[in-house]
Amino acid sequence: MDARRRTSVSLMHQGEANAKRMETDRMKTMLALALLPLPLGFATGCVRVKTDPIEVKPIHITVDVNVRVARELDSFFDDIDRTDPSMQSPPPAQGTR
Amino acid sequence: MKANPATNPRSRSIPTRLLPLLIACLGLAPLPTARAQDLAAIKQRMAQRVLDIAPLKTDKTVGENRDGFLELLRQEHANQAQPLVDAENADRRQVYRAVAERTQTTADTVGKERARQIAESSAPGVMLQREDGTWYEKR
Repeated sequence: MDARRRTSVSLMHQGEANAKRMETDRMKTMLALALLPLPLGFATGCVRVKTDPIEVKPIHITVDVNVRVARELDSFFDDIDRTDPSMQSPPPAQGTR
Repeated sequence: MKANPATNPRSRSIPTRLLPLLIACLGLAPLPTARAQDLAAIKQRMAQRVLDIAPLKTDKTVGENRDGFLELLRQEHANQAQPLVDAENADRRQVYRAVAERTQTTADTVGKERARQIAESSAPGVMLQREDGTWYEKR
């Protein structure tokens, strides 16, 4: 009779221990799920840093085109402008000053 | 039943089918721009015209607008000045187109850049147009 009671008490202890372990496992899983978006946040930050040079590029291209246009115009109008009394001096090309 | 080749559009030959496309392409093709020989001729004409235009600019009959073209400002001198202005602007337009093609930009952009150059290097007394459309005398 005493032995049977002891067996049932030890089974109860085992059940409690199992329940505690399951709860600990569940909490660990929840914590892991909660921390999952964190690296994604860092990744988003990295992408933003990479887009900055792309925004600068078109400005550079525009300036380059303007310089080329100014040079082409200079090479065509330079002689004409030199003989024009309504002009002070040959116009300076953009970006070559 | 055999399809009649005259009425069935699928049976038309490929050149017949491509004809409308070809016509459309020819219609949409850009106007031919000035060649090197043409540009040399334009340059010569402009050089000859410079001494006729300069007095018109200094007495404010014409001004240099914001798009790189001459513009008649005093209508009382239109008979004398307008043909000269038209001829000069036609040649400038050709030059701007040629430069635009070479630099892979638009004739408008080239014209605006030329207007900037003219505004910078014009002698005092020449009338110039600002970006907002108003006119001022170069000091």
